[in-house]
Amino acid sequence: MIRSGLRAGLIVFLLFPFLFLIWNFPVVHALDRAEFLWAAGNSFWQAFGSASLSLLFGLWGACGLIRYSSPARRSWRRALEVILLIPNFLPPLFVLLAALNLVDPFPMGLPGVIFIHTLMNWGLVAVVLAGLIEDKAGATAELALVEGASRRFFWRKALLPLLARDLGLLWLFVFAVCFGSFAIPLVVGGGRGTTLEVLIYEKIRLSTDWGQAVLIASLQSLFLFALSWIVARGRPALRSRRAQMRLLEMKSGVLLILLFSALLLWGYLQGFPAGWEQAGIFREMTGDLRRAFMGSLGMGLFTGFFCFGFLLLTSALLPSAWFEKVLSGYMAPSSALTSFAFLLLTPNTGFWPFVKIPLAVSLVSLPVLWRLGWQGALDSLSRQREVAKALGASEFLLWWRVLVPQTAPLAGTLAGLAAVWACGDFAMSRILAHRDLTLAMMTETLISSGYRLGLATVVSGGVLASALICFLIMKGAGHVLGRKPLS
Amino acid sequence: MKHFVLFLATIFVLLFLFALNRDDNGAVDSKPVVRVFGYSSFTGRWGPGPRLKEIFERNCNCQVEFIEGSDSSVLLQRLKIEGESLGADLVIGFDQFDLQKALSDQSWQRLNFSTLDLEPEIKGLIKNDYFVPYDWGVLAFMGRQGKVEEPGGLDDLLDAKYAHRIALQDPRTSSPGFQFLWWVVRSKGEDAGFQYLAKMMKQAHSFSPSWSLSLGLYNKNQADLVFSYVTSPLYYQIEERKDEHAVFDFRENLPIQIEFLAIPEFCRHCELAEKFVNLMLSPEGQKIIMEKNYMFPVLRGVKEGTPFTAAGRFTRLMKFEIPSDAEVERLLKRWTEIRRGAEAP
Repeated sequence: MIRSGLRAGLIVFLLFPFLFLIWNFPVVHALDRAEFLWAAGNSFWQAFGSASLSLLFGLWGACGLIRYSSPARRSWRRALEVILLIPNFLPPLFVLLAALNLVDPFPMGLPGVIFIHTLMNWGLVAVVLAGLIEDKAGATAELALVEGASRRFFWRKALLPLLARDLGLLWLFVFAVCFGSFAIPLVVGGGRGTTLEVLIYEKIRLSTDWGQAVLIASLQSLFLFALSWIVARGRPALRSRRAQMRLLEMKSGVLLILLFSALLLWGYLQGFPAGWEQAGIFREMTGDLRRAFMGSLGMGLFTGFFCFGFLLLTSALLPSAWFEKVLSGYMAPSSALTSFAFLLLTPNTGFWPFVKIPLAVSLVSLPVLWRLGWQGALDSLSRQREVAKALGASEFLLWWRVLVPQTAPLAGTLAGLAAVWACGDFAMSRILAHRDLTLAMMTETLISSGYRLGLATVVSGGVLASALICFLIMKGAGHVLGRKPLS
Repeated sequence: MKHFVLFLATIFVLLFLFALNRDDNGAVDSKPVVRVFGYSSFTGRWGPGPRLKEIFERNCNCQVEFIEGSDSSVLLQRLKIEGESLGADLVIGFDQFDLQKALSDQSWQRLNFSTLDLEPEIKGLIKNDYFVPYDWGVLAFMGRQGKVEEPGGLDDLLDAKYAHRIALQDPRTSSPGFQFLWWVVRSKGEDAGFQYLAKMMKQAHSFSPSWSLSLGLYNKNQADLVFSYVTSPLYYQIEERKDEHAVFDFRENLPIQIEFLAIPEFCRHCELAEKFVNLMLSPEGQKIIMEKNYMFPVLRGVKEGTPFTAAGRFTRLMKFEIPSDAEVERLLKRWTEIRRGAEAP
């Protein structure tokens, strides 16, 4: 009974922005169908292109990573994985600044949106795919090598059929993330590549038409919900012994990783010299910077702990078919809508922004975290859950002694990612806070003053530092909690 | 588990210490708080807000608290949602295209500014009882001297040499963006204007959601021309000591933007808000606004003897109009159709 109540409570929390806004702002104007279809088409094509290119480059990068499978080269593998994952977990602002420094002229519009999304997501795809290939196709690759199969034959006849469903799932994950992306289409769309997310923003900002904004957001979420049901879930990976993967290894994959990363870093660092020229200003800003840094830490950690709690809570609330289906298909509403829903819940002064912003960021992050590995981790423990239940373990004991020790480290890592996003968030914070509370907001203020891009780049370095601290703290919390119940 | 609890406790003690360290925490004293709603580049560290607040608080026996919104539209929504409960005393940052909407959305206090000695360019332009101008600007295209051939008019911008090198703003989300739309429509007539805009849709580098983003693209050399303020080159001269940027005079009269403030009807500290307005409109306040906002002061004589005088050489200005809310909406709808290719040039 309590578990059912908690399940319902969690779903209501996730649906809160929709429910609250629909209640407050009924749809009064008919939807402009031509405009909606145009924006939906843009959303679809940019997400389709981004997901497909991310998958293509990700597969290439994965073949580079596989070269570092042996225990002796494991540390190199870790380093490459970190490099690959950085763009995906950094606030889009950084990738944007770097890309604008790198590519001249930058292709504004849909091509630009696809380019930035690919830049942000291909690394994650590469890391996930490398693991999948090793686990699912390692033994087959070794056998094919012994049998003298050519690389092309192995890819065509064995690898792609083996991974088809996982590739579909991964494609869908990137597609969903890009479909709901806001900041990149807004900035890089150049006014021509308006997507549904941007259209929602325009409806709120321009015509104050909340009813239509909520309607578009609901249709968008329903589409993604339906899509996630169409693509079936992948089979769990069968971890095999380390196999000879020469048929899959590609040196060019490593070069690709290094080239992309070096270019991105170089692009980002280009803003620093201009910022340092105005270094004198930093002395005047010391107090503001210190407070904003602590504010970033506060936002990051509160978000991290909220997400940590939510994730562990979901582990306690499974198995439940309907609950899992809803979580798998659920797509958070646009960040602008979520923020305004929280803003309408007054008060907004004092410490409230420090509660509301982390809650809003958590709400938007949870569906992504769920798809990013949490669902898979809980699935892989279903057998243990059944055994423990058969042995007569109570629900609490099962959760505390079996699930938490094994999932807390991953929960810590995922919550750390949410903390990183919170540190880098300025869009939601700008709506919910009355002034600059964090370094990311300060960075955005510097950018929006129009003239101070260099300074903004330097301050953004502080955002990275606070994000890293939050990530490590959350990872540490996961590690500690994961260890303790077993001792 | 002990270590885990200790770990959490340390984190939260740190955050608590930070909370104690914040400026506004010890401020729960008996002084009245004047709440000023403003856009972030006005109220933020680089804007005129903090300096004005500092001067005002010296004598008012009160505190000024800024409530930020990213722009006038968000500010208006914020005012609607929490203005009354929070106690908004003053709103800063409307331009002429927001006035009708602001007037229909909210009730405002009557303000008399007829005694102000306004700059000749804007004197007599503003006839209303609620919104007081506090700065103004002229918009034009800016580029790097010697690196870009100077365009002489709107039609020149369609030349192949500027293809994909012009950074513009989206009129639906940016005030300068609407200024450009208004400028084109008023200079060429509505139908010809929209035909021109349809061509510009292909010619421009981008229509950014904000002026700052389009300027960022220009700063990053992604664009050779950006639609900005005639005072923009002054920023580069004064703050970055760079003389390469210039604004170009056009055959068409240039658009003018006037920024306004107003006091909501439900203000709690209305007198203090009026005193703050008086500070903003004093020579001292106007100088601060001019130097921090890089906009012209409304008060006559303030910019004399400063680099802003030279920027004031653009005297052929468009007729100042305050369009109705419906007119703004209609033009934006047409623009939206052009954007998605629904209206043929």
